[in-house]
Amino acid sequence: MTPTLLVAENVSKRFGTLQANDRINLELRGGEVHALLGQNGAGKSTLVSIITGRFAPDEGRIVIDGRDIPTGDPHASVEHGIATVFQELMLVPSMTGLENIGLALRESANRTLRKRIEAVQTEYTLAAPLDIPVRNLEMPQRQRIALTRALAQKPRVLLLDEPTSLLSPTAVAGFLEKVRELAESGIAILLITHRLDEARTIADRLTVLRHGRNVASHDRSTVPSNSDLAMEMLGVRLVDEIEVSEPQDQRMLVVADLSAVNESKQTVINNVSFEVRAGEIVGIAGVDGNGQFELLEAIAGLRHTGAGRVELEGTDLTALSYRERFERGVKLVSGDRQRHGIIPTFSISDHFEYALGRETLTRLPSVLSDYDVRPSHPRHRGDQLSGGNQQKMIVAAACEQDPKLLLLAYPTRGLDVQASLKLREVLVSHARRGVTILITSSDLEELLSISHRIVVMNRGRIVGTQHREAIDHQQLAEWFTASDDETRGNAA
Amino acid sequence: MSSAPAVPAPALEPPRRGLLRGRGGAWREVGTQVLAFLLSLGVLIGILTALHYDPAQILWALWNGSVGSRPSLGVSASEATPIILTAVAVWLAAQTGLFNIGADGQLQMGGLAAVVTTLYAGLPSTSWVLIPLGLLAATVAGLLWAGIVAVIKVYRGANEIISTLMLNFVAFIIISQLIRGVLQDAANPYTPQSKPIPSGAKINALLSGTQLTWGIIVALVLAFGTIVFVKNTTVGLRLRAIGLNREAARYSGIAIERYWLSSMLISGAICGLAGGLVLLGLRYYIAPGWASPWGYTGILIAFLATRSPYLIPLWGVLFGMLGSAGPVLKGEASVPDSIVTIMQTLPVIVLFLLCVVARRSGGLLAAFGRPKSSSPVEPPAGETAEIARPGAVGV
Repeated sequence: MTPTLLVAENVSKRFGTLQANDRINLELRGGEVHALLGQNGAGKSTLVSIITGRFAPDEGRIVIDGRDIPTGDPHASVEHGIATVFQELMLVPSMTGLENIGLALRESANRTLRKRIEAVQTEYTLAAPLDIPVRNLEMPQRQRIALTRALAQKPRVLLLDEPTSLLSPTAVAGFLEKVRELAESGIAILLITHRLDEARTIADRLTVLRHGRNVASHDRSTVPSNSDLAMEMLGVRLVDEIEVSEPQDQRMLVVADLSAVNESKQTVINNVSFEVRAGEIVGIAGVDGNGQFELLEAIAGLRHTGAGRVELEGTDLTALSYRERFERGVKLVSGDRQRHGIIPTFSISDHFEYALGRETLTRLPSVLSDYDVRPSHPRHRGDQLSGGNQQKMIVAAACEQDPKLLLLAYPTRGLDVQASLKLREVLVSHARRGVTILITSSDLEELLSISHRIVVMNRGRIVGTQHREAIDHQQLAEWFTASDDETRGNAA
Repeated sequence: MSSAPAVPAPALEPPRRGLLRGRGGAWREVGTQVLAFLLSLGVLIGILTALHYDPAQILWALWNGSVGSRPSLGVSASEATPIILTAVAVWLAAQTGLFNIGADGQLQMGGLAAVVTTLYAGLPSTSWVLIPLGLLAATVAGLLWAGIVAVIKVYRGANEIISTLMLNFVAFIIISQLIRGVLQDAANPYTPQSKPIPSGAKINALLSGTQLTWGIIVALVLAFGTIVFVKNTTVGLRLRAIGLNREAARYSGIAIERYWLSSMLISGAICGLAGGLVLLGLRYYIAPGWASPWGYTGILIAFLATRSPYLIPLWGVLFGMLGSAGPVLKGEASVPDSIVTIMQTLPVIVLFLLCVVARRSGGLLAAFGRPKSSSPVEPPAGETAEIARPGAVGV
């Protein structure tokens, strides 16, 4: 067996009340590709940040060659041979490849460096132009530059954070082959991803994280089926099911044949149709990045739809803007609080006043206690609340605007167990009063606990629907991972 | 190894609202600005001494030229009027994240409209209607000039920094063509300038022998009124919300485009009014260089006072005094123009340096921006966005 190079032992990290990493163990061997799987918010990025020294763990240690390395010190981890290629690549667009590499290595982009870099490129067959500004390069070439930069540091451990998310399907295959070759040269590679197929294709071992914990580890020979892996990632325990009330008969939302594309013209919502009744909670489930968020955006009117129809209470909304839909009672709440919710420097009461008008302020104290926002002092700054309390505040503001249809994208992202439970109770009580709720989450458990119905999205299509009373986990798992042909078959 | 950061303790003394925001934050801000001014004065004296001027003589000339005599008091006030107005106009637009570099052009178009309407409205030259008409025309002209920018920003997404800046040049060229053409004063055929406005259109001085008019009062009232409005009403809160986090405001259902339009239009209107007040109260006709770069000074002040807008009038008066003292300095202390320019820009540079020092050392930290550890650390998920730095002019 190849020797163990790096061990992360009992690593824990807490942000406020959120336990991002809870006694995680990970072991990397020279010459192996180790895949780290998990949905967004499972704790992958936190673990990577700890290994690269960006954060110090609260507990636990990082061991290389049997010796502890200082934590929380990025230079120390580089010195110990840890190199990282980040998802966003972190290249300066206006600089050439050579300049970018020189920048990282703190060397000037001269002939000596060029020789060395060209040697690295030859050694690993990573040909990419070094003299063209990076912004003029294709994505796979940029990635090669970033990879070359990491390899020029002569790493023993290479961390690849979601490396394929920016690549086209054809480029992905080439890239994975390259990763395989790198591993064979003796480097230990940690591949962070939430794409099951990738992990399955090249990983020698697999570690699955969920809610900041190790859920499972598999050797190449014992990797379970894709659907089992998906269940490990998404979670199925039904520990805290919440009592939900029966939805009303009245039809609230109709989505018919809806399609939309993303910024690079790829289809992200493909011919989606469904109906939701008043007071019904529908959970949109799936592996992250299969069109869930885009669907909510399209219903809210923030994403241009190519074809199809959206109706609310029998009124056609399709031609209406976000604002017009908003005024008719469609409210969207995003889990990206910093970008879509919090106004920096504004107090809690400012957040309510600007969105709802000054009249709200008289009942604000009772609203804050209803939604359990803490500290509940209206003059406390919103951007200084913890993530969970920020989220509760934003949901409270949206709910106080009398929504008919509440669209929630990853509302509990970054929240601790207590806060997300509280939030779910709030949602259920709104549904009881007739509010229709569409919710998407990386966490299947959460969706199962409050949804009347689960619809599964896969590659932009709705591939299946299950009702609360008859959840078949095996079937769900198959839907999550169904390949392209199968999804077409299901949709037909 | 650091232990887990706890949830920030609730503030025992929540920030108050209005004039004195924050726990002494406003006063600290004022203190820093005063410090910047004093420091820049010190630096200036250093420079002058190094250049072998007599600092005492210069300070005396400064005093004399700005407030030391009745006439200079009037000049200070009339210089301060357009500066205060343009500064508050730029500040207002900046609240919604729009950077109105076009204060100068809007002011010039305001002046032009005041001249044209008072001269060609066909009213008797002593009619009392002339002054309100001229000021109204100036306001509308500024509003329309900014309106061009607002419309292409809202409907076409054009960058307002570039369009306002470009329109400054357009305004300049239109005016220089007109005063050589149809507006050319027949009595002065060899100098490009307009006819002087009718006597009834001139705003009388409040003190005889000075240029002190009620324009400065209008400016101060309007400036304070605007600031109080933005700081204390729900509409003002919405304007600021858009400037601080546009996407969040959009999610909350705020009609961003409508607020952009109105803040830009009002900003332009205020600048236009400034031009009208200058023309009817100080210059009386348009000739090349009739408008000093008040609009640009206004931008500087709006920048200086982003976080403490109540200082805008104060800075306006101060810069007005410097403007007024300029010619006296030249005359009495034989100081070149460039020194006057240095005097006007030094406080800005010093203030920015102070900001940098404060950030680095952490000592004056509370005065600028939010404290480093103010918000709980979020996990490094790819989607956690940086919190926009409060106080930066939103561009």
